Amino acid sequence: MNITEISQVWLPLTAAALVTASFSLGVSMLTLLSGHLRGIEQSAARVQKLSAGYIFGFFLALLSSVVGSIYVLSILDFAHSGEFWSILSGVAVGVGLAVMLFYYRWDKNGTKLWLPRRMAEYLYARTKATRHSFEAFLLGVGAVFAELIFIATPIIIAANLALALQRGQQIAAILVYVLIALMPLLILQIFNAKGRRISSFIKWRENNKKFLQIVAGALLIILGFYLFIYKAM
Amino acid sequence: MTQILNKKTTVNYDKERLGQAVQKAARSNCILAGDAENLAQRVVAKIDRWLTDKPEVTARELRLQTAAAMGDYDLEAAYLYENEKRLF
Repeated sequence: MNITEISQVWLPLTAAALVTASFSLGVSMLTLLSGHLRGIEQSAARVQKLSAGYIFGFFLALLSSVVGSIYVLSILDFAHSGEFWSILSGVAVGVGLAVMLFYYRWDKNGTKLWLPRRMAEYLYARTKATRHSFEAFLLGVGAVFAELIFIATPIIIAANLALALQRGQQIAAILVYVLIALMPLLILQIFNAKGRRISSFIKWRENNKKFLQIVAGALLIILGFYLFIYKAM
Repeated sequence: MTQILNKKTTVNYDKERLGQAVQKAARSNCILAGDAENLAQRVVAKIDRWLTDKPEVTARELRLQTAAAMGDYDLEAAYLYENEKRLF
């Protein structure tokens, strides 16, 4: 791994993963799922099992999205062209601005997301009705696809960056991306395993939502400009 | 009997249902079963007193009042009860 590879692949890939990690529908759903299961008197082991099923579903959906994107991009001749990187950079800046403006609703209280209210109500009811590991797994898969409008851009950027690497490094890049993106869920899982009060986690998110929103949006905008300079020009 | 007004429906106030919801929120926040039950009883008693002269209240009013009553005993559980529906 040389300095060019670090600056032109690994650094933007890590930034894309951090942006993905900052999107919080997955975290909200896991928070509700684990809290609700404890509320209906499920044992700690069962809560852990269902939460693990949810995280595994999230992991697999994210992994499939990245691998699928790499496959599609590998077929396209123009994946490494300056024009394609220009389009990706532009989209990243646009999505970054959208994140800054719309990701969280403008309510002072709570962490209400951009989701249409009908969809949010459905996800709320679906999460609360989850009783089996397989349902939790599907919920994890659904959390990735429900937020695709925002996470598609960092996924495609990461896939296109990984495409330039050799096979072994490509696998490492995919794993680095997915594991960084999964970090908030893993932290929440540890938080739950230790029996910590879930309200303190929700409170922390509510108090820092504007900061997280601005950082995620700004990071995506900076990433867009960075890729434009190093890849498109 | 006090009526609880929702967006589309109106239902009778059900103290048992409220008690269960309070207990569930408390259990969600890692409060022990006995403590959660105790908390629910005290909160329901407070809400009963608050409702005595009210023929109807909105579901939102009831929720906020319940959270406030919970807050007298456990601020963290009250926060969870109030904000659970604002997660996403």
